[in-house]
Amino acid sequence: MKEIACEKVLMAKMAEADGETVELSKEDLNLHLISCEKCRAEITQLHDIDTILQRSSRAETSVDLWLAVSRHLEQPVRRITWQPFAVAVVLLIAFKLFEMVPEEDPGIVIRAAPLVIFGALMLLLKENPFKINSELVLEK
Amino acid sequence: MSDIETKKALILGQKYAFATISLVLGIFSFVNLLGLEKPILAIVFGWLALRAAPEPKLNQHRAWAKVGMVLGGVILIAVPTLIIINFDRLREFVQILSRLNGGR
Repeated sequence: MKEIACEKVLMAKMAEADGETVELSKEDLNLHLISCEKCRAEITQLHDIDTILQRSSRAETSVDLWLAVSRHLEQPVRRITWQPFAVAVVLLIAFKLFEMVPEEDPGIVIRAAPLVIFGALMLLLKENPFKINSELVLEK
Repeated sequence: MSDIETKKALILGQKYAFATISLVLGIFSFVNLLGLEKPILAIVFGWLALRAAPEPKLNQHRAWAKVGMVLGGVILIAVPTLIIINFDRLREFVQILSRLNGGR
């Protein structure tokens, strides 16, 4: 019986601390606490925990991530236009025609022109075809 | 991600790869490195397919990439070796061709 009574008293004290209405009267609670050492110890312990918790505060970070995130969100979708490709095609065809002229020996530098055009096109498109893009998004 | 979206992403990933390979091969058609540009690309693309990072690792079709790399490697070794072995004969052949081609 005493265990149930203790539990009721402890519940009532917790409700009181939370500002809720208590079923038991203040006198009954005080009478029980005077006689019950276990409940007193328990309440003291609860008070101590409450004090520790009240002293602690949530860590606040000073880093504002929103600016970086919003900038990323506001970035317009980069549309790949056909102009760089058209320029590359014209240059490559011109290279091929020049290479086919029998009197001209292009030399090693000119022979590497397609690779240069390829590199320039990739630079212009800001793409690396030899890299797996892990940030691809599903096209709408 | 729903099943349909996953499927779409997988299909799009493959099309993305085809588009990339098409552009790279198209441009490399203009490059002439004694035909060695093709095995170089086979090895590069095979290596990209077999790389563990970024995840997930390729499990199916792993053999495709391996075979592609081996075949590319064979040509990459065989052609320069044959050129070195037959260097004098090839030089003569190129000279004859040059004479036939108007000195070029």
